[in-house]
Amino acid sequence: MEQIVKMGDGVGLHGRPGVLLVDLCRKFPDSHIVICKDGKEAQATSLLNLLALGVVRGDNVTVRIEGGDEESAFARAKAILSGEAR
Amino acid sequence: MRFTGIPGVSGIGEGEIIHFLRSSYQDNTTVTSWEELVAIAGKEFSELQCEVKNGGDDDWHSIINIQVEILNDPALSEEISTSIQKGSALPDAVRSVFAFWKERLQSIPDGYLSERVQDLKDLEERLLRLAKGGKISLPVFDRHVILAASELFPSELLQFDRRWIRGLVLGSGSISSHIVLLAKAFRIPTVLGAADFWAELPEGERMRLDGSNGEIVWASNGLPDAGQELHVQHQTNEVSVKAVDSQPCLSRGVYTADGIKIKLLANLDIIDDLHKVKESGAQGVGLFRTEFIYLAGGADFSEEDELEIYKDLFSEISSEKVVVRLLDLGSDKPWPGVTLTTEANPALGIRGIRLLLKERWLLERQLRVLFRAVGKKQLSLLLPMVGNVSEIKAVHEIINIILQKFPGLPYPKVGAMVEIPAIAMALDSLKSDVDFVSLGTNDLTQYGMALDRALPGTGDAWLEPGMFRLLEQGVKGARHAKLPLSVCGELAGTIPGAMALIGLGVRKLSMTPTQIPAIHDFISKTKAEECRTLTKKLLKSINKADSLALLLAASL
Repeated sequence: MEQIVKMGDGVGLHGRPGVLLVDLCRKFPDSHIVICKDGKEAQATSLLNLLALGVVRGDNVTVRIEGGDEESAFARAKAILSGEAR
Repeated sequence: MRFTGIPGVSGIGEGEIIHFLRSSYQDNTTVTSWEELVAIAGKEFSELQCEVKNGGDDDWHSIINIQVEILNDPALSEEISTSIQKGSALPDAVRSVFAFWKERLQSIPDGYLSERVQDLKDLEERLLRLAKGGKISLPVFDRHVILAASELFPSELLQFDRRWIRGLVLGSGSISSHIVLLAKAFRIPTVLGAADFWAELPEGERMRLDGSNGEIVWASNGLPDAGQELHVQHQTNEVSVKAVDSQPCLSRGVYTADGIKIKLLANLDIIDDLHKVKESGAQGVGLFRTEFIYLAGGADFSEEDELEIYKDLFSEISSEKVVVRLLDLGSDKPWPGVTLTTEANPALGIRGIRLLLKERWLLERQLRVLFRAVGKKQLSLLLPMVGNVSEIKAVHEIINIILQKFPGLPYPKVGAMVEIPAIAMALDSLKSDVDFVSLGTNDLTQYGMALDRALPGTGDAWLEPGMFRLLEQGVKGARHAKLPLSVCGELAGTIPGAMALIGLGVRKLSMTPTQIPAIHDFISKTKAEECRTLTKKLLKSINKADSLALLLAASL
């Protein structure tokens, strides 16, 4: 599945949400999670690649998830990006 | 000559100057495989995590977590392994791959993200140190010190014996860098931007730094002996009085008949009233209600118009003497298109700071315009309708971001309006995140008595026994939390109100400018001791009628 999510967190996709996303990949090992912005893609397993997307507050990012548990993984990812999950 | 850096973490620290130089690396590597290095570094991180566990501070954990995740990043591992396969030695592979990522993150225009380069540097430093099989031998202290360094990594600060560190003078680091966040969490006064002079600070000499204005002074440079401290304190006070004098329109405040100094400030609603403030003899503006300029400007009030208003104000009265309350919209002050019209209880709805955090663009806009208007001077910001410390932390986070675009601008002082009874009872919970508090008696009474402030005949509701005790709790709470307090509700501008407040120990009153001459006159003829006696009686009163009678008798 693929959906656009608007960043809601105070300061964009920086350290903390990044760490949460990497951790999410660990919790959903069957899902392949990719974050895209402006044609750039980052595997969510790589914090450095996530940071290098340069996503700031209010940006729209595309979340692409493939795998067995993609719906629950997406719900978590959306919560992290929108700033609801801490 | 005094040296001044960029304010980092406010507070005054005093100690012996120590230079911190990270030892340079050697070439005789003892660890050669990347996997082994990751394992050793991982072990060191987990030790560090155990060590800081009891601290319970989010900043520590997240700094370590970020570095652990970078260490475990599959992309990083792959690149380093490839480099080693191609024949690079481990340290060179680490250096070149880290150089690539540092450059990539550095190129991101967003300041907060590019600050993460510090995490990379810190991790790289650790890896290179571990690769040669060595541990950094951090200096051990047995007395209060101020560390001067070109840069300091969070992990280093975490490993120092921080009891002895009274201040940091750093060549690099911005106010949103992790080292500054950590120093703030440990309340270590910090001065930044010392790249040009930190190495010249004489090691071993006693030094004092002031993190709020970036000033540093040491023994051979005019810092008086410890014994003369009181004298210095006294002199500083006199200097500030003189500074007030140099602005002839602003007064020096007033003394009670028994010599207690009371500061009188003006509330400013519309900018046209500025001349009234200056004529009133106020010492400054204790409450600038900025929402009124928005309300007057209408729905399409532009940033440029807003900028002009602030500039005009700061050119008349120095920003150091103005407390700017950020937009307090909502409830009885709706703004078209922003405030909700469907709320059942607007006074209890999304208003004040809640609205600013919901509509962040409004907060960001106002901060941006204020920072533009103030030049390089100190701003004091007051947050409306604060209910808990998380709201203040959220505002700090946004200030940090906006401030990055204004290099050299000191971090603003941030204060909280005390209008919600629950926060009046818990001012200690705010103490590490605000510089001052301001008691708003109008709303505090409205919420304390569940009585709409617009209802006629409610002007003396503050004398209800429970209400007056709540005021006392607020004043006491601020004193215990060592937070400077002022009162900016209308109560401060009435003679009975001023008397009761002075009796409670309030020393700063902000009021409608036209009230100032009368209050000034009254205070100069009244003893603070009389006010205290009255207040003691009021605190024992069990009905409003008795309190009114007591007040009447006292103020006649």
